[in-house]
Amino acid sequence: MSDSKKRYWKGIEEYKNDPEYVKYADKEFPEYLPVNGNSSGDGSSRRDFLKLMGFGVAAASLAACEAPVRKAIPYLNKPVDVDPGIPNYYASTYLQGGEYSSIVVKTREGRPIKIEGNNLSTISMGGTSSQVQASVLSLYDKERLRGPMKNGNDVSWEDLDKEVVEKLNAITSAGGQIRIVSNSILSPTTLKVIEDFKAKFSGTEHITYDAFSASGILKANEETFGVRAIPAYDFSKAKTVVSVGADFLGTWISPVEYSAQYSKMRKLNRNKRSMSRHYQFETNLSLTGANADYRSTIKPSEEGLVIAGLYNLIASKADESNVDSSATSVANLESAANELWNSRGSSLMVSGSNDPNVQMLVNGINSMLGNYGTTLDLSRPMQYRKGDDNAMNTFIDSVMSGSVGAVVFYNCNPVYNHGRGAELAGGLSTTELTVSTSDRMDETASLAGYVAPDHHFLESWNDAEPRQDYYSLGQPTISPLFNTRQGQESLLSWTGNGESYFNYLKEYWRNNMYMESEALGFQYFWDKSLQDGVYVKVSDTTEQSTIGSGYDPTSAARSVAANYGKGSGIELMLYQKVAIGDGSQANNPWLQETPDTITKSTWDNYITVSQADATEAGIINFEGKTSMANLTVGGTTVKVPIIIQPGQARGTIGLALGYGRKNAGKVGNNVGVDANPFIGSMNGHSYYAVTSGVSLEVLPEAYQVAQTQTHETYMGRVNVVQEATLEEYKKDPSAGRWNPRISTWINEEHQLAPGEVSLWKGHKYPNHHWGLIVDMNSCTGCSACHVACQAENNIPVVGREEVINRREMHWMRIDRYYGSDANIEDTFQELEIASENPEVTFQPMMCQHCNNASCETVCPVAATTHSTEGLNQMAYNRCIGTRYCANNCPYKVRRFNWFKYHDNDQFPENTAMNNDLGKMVLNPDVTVRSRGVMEKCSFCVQRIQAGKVTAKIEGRRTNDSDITTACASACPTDALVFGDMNDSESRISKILQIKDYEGDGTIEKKVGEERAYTMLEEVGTKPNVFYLTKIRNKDKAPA
Amino acid sequence: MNCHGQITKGTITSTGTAEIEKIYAAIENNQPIEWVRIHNLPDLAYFNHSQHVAVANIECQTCHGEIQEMEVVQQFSILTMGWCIDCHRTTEINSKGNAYYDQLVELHDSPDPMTVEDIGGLECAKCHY
Repeated sequence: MSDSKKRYWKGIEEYKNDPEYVKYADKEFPEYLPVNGNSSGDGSSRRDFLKLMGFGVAAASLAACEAPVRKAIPYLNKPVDVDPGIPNYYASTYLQGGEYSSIVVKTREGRPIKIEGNNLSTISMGGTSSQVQASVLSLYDKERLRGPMKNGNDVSWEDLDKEVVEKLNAITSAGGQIRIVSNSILSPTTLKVIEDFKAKFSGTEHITYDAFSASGILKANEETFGVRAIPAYDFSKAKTVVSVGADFLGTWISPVEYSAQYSKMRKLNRNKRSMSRHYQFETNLSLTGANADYRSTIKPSEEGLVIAGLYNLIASKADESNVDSSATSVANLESAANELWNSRGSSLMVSGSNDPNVQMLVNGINSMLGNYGTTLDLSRPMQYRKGDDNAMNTFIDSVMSGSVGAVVFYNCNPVYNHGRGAELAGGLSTTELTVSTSDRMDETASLAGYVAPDHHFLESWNDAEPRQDYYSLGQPTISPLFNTRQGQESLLSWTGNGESYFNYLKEYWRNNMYMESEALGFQYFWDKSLQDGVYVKVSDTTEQSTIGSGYDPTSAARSVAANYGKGSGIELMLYQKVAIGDGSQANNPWLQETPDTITKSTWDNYITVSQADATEAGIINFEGKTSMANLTVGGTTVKVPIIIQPGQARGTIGLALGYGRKNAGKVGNNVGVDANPFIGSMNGHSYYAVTSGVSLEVLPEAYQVAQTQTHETYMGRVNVVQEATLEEYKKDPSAGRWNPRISTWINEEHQLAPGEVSLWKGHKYPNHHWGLIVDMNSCTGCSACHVACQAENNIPVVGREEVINRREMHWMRIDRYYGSDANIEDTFQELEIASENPEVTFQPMMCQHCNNASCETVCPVAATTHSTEGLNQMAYNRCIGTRYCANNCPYKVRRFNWFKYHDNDQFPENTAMNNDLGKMVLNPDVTVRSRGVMEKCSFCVQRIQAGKVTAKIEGRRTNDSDITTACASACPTDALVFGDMNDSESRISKILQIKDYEGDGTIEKKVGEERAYTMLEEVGTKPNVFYLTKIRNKDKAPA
Repeated sequence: MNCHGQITKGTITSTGTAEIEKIYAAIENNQPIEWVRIHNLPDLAYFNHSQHVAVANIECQTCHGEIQEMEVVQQFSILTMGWCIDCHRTTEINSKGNAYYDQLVELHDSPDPMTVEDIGGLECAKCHY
């Protein structure tokens, strides 16, 4: 590694070695920070200080005379299953539009405080996403509606029901049209409710659309196989993955599930020395592209041609006829085709396109490769996306023409997140009856005559069928906070059915899911399903669908050839961010402050441009400081900042959806710009790119995006990322490892590993020795751990301004490094070449819990000390805030409380600590820190202590299932493994191949796994966090 | 009501003794009794009863005094950090029959009994997090 030709950089400013950057790089905080604003000299003097001091002493002695009286108020009737101080866990289901995750909800004294993945689910496999993790805070959002509304005024449920039913009846008897509009509904029982509604009110149609449509895939599968569904993809069986524009690890269809599958093929160990190879062809640098082995940039206008080209390459090998296609030259396309063909039957090709013609060619490719039945399964398809763009367009047209009498918007917000939202908004004013079930006065609900707010999903009964025959139940974990009503119950009551949705749901399960063959009866079946949260119906395996007569690649290719052609102008590619998604949780500050997985920006969306285009336009970025630009698309202009994004295709720009909300709530309103109006249409399907008529005008106006990416740097130490190629790894498992040696006094040749000599005596760990593994090969950088940590440890949100001041409080960060060849000749072109398509590495970084911790040595008050279990402890009440520890930490993982973030109306974004409702989400086991103290990752010591007590009560040692950290439990790819290194049966001991040996008076541990390394080993801190080298499945050595 | 329903001694009113009357009042008014909290620990300290009662088998009276005799509960111990630590320094671990402690007992190489301090019971993050 020491002679590596590779260079890693966190941002363009670091790569350029900009003098401004270098000047501040070794400072924890920039010098230009405003300090108290009293630098003018008229601030408080020493005399004032003494006066205040005098008062302080007097006040303190007066206050000490009497202890405050605290009251203990018990439950009048204690709920049977609630014990103060002891958490309860309930299996439930996360549903947000078509997003699904099977979850376990942790409640304390009846309040949900944390969401974990459900390991029993064969779909989400215990994984979660940042949005799932953050959704518990959305429950306590004070911007939610408190009760039903009529024309913006409060109304009672009785009056609302009466008026709505009267109008529905009147419209029906007049032969009027009624529409129920929703996002994809995964719940079979809810669909039954809608059927009941349709039966009662004859003119009703149910329109489904999705914020990010997959209508093209559904159409293509309908035509090809006669099944209007999304196949069940199985990335865990795919030796070769080729994705054209599908961000399947970040945002595409079911990223948690795909991440879990994908990581299985990426993990390496002694017994498994092979991994999948992943090709990505895309415009913006997505999370998936960042994880790919080979990545090529394409313009949106050539997307169809790339797939047609790939089709022809495969067809030639399969002796099938080629389709018409104008040639397009894209790097790696041919080798992708070769690899797909070589691993046919266990390869997978996916495309993010919403054009059915393109998707038909994709079906053709997978079919020629014989992948159906292995990596794709249509016999039990997925149901995440059901949206029909044509039906939605017809609906909007009919609203505009005034032919629709009533619309019920069932938990959806098309005025905001549909491309034609503005048209729809205009048309709704003439519609006789409009009802919304939104939880807040969002863009659509604020235009609706009646709002019948639904419960939050944590207050609701629900079920889901994410995949055919794979069921999931959702149960309430708290009584409704407000006077809201279950959405399904609203629909039921309008049909005159007064039954509770719970009974309705249970009956539906009795009649449809429960099979008489189950020996123990329905009640047992129901209780078991509810306890597990999931149920898989055993049914006869249905036949794999075969290609039908509707499959016509020739005409699909003809249409592709007509619609695509590499353009010369600027092209806009719209995308979703991993944390914000379609913006439905925009009012959630945890998500707004989660740094974007790639740009590491918070609280904003922006245009991403390539370095080459930026140089041409004279755009310079420096730590988020950038210029604003006017983006004009077909007559609409928005003003938006520009970020230079390495890996962005030349001649293209990217812009994230989900921002610019107007009615999300105080936190989410007017953050960024709304890109939904730019969603276009191709063949009647939503099209998320604009290939012509895009212009960009750079304005002289300066702006700063709150980016975290170059904060906390390692001072140019190059060995933080250690990586190798698969070939190198197969030859030598320790490939890419750097083993620093230090010379000693004994003689000139004598050298030792840095950990072997020390000023310290070492620690004894007789009981436990906690450690964490970070596998950089399976970490996709998705940030679920990041939000889980925030939820578990009461970490405050600081807001945009404070992030710019480098004062973000997150205990863990995910460092994103770009890697490129350092030996390119040092010309003006160098940066452009390096930025064109860099390799990307993600590295979660938290307190390393060093055995020889540099923070512990410098603390003047011993507020940070070492435990006999290997933890680096932080006692907040002992800390006096010298910040010596943070300055001495080589990993930059300590965070200082510059302000009191709780009960402080200067931090309104920090909703979890600044209003009574938001505070219900706080973890009562973790102190809320106050101003002036240092904090950092504790390895979730509260979970360690709880797990130990459980084991002690049961009179046994702890095991892996007792204790894990919030980050490791949230991880969908199992990249983080926490455990006791003293326990030879623990997973961490087995993965690291830990062997004990007698050290100097202590039992030392030897790590046998060749890929494992500790961060900055040469410093000699001996961390308890181990990183496993990044292995890329590339033919050549990394650039 | 639980056990309180059985109380018949003391000044009899329509529903029991004067103190029990408060419970009936609470139920009738749907208003829980506001007890004055005697044993207060600051929020920054985490204390777990089950560790001390279920695992260590410490009697209630060790910390709460003759609580069964107190008509009005009084604070018996001072509950300061020094008090906690003194006890952790001197109390022997109740390790008998608890497999959790086997390894620690084996590694304990001193003629003195193994105290809480010996296995890390004075460390900050045992109570402060």
